[in-house]
Amino acid sequence: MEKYRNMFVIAQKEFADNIWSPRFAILVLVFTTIVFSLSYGSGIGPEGNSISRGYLDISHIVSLFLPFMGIALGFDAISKERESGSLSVLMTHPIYRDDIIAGKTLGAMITLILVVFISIFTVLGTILLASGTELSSPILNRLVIFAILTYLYLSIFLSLGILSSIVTKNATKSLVYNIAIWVVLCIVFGMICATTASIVTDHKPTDLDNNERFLGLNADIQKLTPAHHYAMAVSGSPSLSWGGVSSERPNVRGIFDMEYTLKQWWNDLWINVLILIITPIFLIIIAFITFLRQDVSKDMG
Amino acid sequence: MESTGLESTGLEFEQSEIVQHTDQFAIETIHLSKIFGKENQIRAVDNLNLQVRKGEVFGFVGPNGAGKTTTMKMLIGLLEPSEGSGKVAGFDIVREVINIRETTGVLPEPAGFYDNLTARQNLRFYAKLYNMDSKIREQRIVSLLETVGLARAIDQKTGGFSTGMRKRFGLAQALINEPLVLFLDEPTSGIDPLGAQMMRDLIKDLNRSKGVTVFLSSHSMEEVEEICDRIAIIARGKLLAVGSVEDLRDIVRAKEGVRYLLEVQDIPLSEAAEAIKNVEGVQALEIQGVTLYVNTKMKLRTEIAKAIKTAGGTVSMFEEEEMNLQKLFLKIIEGT
Repeated sequence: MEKYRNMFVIAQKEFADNIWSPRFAILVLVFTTIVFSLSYGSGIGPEGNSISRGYLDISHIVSLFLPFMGIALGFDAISKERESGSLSVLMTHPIYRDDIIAGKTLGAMITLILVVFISIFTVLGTILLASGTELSSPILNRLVIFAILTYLYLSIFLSLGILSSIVTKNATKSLVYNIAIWVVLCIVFGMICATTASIVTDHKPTDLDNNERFLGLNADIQKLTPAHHYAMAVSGSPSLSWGGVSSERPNVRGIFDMEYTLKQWWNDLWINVLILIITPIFLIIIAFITFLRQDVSKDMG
Repeated sequence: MESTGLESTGLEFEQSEIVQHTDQFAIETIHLSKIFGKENQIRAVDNLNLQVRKGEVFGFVGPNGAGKTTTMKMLIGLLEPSEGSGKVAGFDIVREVINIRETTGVLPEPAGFYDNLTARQNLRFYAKLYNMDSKIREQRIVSLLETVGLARAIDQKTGGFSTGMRKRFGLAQALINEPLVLFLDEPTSGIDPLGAQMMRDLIKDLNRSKGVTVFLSSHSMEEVEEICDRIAIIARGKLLAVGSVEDLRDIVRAKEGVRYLLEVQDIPLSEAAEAIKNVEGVQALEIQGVTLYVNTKMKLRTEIAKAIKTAGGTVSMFEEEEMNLQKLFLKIIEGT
């Protein structure tokens, strides 16, 4: 552990910085308010008395908006230090570069666990209170898996944020790039897929006859976004973004489909889960390599 | 007495060959070079042989782009040399970078801190990187901030610090590990004269009381002259001269001769000039008002005084033109 001491020093500082920053408090507050309102509605609505129903509604919001939380935690991890000159001071102390990037990533990842923990339990508490149902063990298991899937999904955007903070000169640029990526991948990707497939196949999305080629291409393009894999694993829906066309739906309608066992869920959707696991790891590796290859001495003088 | 060539002769611009590292120096480089670019190669530092003695304040001066910061970056392990080698505090600048950072302190330019944290929190963070005992760490933070005159600002966020306070705080962070060697890059740039003087006094005091070797890069010749024991002048990556201010004067004298200022009584200045003209080694004479300026190849004080006396004159003022470091620097740079 001694070898990783300085990595933990950085991680500790990063975590404390995130937790005590007004930015973090505002984002958590906004998100918690949204999920509270939505989950309360689900809990007392006509389909109330159903915890899974509440979480399916939440997964839509998570898929669209929570990636911004990941971005907010990562977009200025390195660029801010570079801009302020604190990176050049830090580099004069006995610390390896991989400890810096690993510490920053670890600190942000731990913060993200907290975000997911707060949001998931806010939702759970709200639904339980509003519907008056009891929490059963199978639901709790699925809830834990839902939390892990959400965490993995947000980690992708956190990793993208860290990567962009390494390759950009300043935090503003990094934020702009990240917002652009988020809007494209999460908000309007469904629309982009449908439009692209429509242009390529010369088939109107509204025309339901002989639309196999259109739907096939649309489904293939949708696989390019992490939001698709998250939506599939959680709700069994190929697209939760605006203007998206859902083509092939799996038999299992996500993690909260109680008609199927968890094994059946895994057999049907393991590829989506695997992509959610691999993507952040891949992005973090890219971020590490990029940072280690950078000439950080340019930041000094 | 160790030598860098210039020191030993006092009259040469070339350096003697240093072939092997010894542990008697705080900093030592042998043929250290840094080459940037693959096709259009730029030698930012070119064959630098440098020896900084333990416990001295060593000034490193040169025009912009001379290679000062590049040299410093190589010495603290932020840049890998293209050629040559170097040791700092006995550690190799390529293979033992972490050891170097554990035994040195650096005030870079620009220096940034975590402005959302207080001075105490910032220093605590840096101290943790040295695995310091928490009790010692907290005592050291207080004592360091007292040393740099920031004791009252200990719980203020560094974001609210003035430029002078930031520089002093930068010095405190560089001293957190009680370094043997202190690298200071432009420690007084951007601060007012009072703040600059306070910073200089601090550096001098650190050097005297703790025996810290200071490697100081600066554009302020006044500052370097005031606090440095020896000075190296670098331009276009090459070391041009090294030594004390007096050594540098000798170097310039050897190349450009000596300039005397005289005031003479009893005979007109023109007659005195005529008498001096015949002294061997006198290169030029110039009368400005009541002062006679004499340029000579070497020191000819006695010969000139004798010539004036022979001509019936009395020397009422006889001074050698004093060249400060600014003038010496310009002459050495111009001479290359």
